Amino acid sequence: VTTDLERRLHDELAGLAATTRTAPDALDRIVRGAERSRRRSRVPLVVAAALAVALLVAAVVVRAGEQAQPVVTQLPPEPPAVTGTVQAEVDTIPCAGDCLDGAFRFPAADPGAVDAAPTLGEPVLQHAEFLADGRYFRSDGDRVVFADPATGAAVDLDLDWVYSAEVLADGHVAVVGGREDGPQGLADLDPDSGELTWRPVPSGFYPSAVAVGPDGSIALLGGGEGDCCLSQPELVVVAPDGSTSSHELDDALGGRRPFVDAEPEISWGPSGLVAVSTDSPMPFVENSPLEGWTVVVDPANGELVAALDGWQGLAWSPDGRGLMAAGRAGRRSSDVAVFWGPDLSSRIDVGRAPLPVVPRYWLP
Amino acid sequence: VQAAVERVGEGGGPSTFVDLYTTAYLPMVRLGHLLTGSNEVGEEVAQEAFSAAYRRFGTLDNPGGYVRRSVVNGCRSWHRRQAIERRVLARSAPVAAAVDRAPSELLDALATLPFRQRAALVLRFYEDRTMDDIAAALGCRTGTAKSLVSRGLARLREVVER
Repeated sequence: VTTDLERRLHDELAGLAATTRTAPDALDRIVRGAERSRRRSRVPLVVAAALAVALLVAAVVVRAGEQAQPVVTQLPPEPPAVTGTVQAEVDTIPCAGDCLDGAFRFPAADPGAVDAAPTLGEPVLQHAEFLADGRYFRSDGDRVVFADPATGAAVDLDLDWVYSAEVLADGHVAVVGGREDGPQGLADLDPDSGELTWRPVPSGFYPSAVAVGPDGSIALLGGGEGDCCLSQPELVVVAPDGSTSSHELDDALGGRRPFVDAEPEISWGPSGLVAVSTDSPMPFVENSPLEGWTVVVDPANGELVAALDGWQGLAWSPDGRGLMAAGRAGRRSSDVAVFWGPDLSSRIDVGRAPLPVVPRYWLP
Repeated sequence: VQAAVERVGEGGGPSTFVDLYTTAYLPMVRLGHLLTGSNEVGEEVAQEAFSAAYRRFGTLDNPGGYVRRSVVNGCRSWHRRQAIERRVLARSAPVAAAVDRAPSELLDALATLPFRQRAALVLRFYEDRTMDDIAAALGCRTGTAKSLVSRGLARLREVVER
């Protein structure tokens, strides 16, 4: 049913749009702008190529003299123990229009043992984000509520949305979220009072996901101002002293430019490495037959350690040796495997869940 | 320029860059105009979006969706820059916004909405986009797009019925 207000809005917008004028030489300007940008982008490539040659020569010289330091951290060569419990999330419960969120747990060795309906928290939730202990954020389309299904406690938050959250060592919660008409970014939440303390992040960086490291550092995955109008995937690490370091992830992602603006995931494992799972590839850009990428990077420098094309989910094993992920075909992912080894190239297939899953937390 | 356009336009059919420009450029400038309140800024943003589309035209499987997303993101960046500028200059109104249209209570109210609500309303009620399209253009979930539309309408209703 179209209301009077909606009709009036349409008419007034159409009236304003009818006054829009374009420059007669717009096509010329577009093409010249694109060619200029292309030429500019070639210059850094030449510089990068020269640098790469210099580094290669230096590496050979170092190797000939004394033993070179490894470039990136590696995972242990031993397989993880596939025991304990995994908490997974689902955001593709069959629905007409609305995608609903839920979370549930299953034995790490048997993802098929889960019920067909999420069993953690409320049966179905909209715009939910779960912590490892079962507490969750939900939105009813208005403000966000932080709820504890174990006690029934619920705190209203001064937030319009929460994209991601993880518990800090002091019991507070690191939250990535924001308000339509207020601050957006990283906040420290006191779970008892609901009080939020906003923390600074680099200018021009818009975080979408947060993870807490073993030393209390915070890793943020998000988009910087990128090529024209599309986000540049970036990893920002906030050290316990508040200092920040930024790493562009273009190289780690193989030059592909997936979305990191909506629902990416990030997890900092006990081994000290950070796993990042992107949104599906940028809609409208045909650059890969796969949907969603998980890459493991060294948070010290953003260097790629391993990539799991076509797999998603970021449940590190409690012993830090492996990463559980779910295969992704379209938006449905139910085949679950554990990847391990220095470059995560070894794989243990643990089974198939009865519904699409995103493994998030692997509990002892 | 002509040679460059022809190079990108090779292949014929409706999927050439010139076809994209011919069918989508003016609508995208209009969208930028509605989202920023300025014809001039709308055209600048649309030109940037089309330049980006030109550079990667061969890799786009939905060029129209790509430029729409780019225009929305470009307008969002423009609003962010304006907000920073306002803070720095301690001004109360955007420099270029709302300078080239007749007075309208409804459009004035629309201009006061947070960017995502405003964009959702323009995409829904001017471009007649589906919630899935709006979500793709804004980089959010479909449910979020729905709540942006309903909350934006509620805010507008408050203003016009006041």
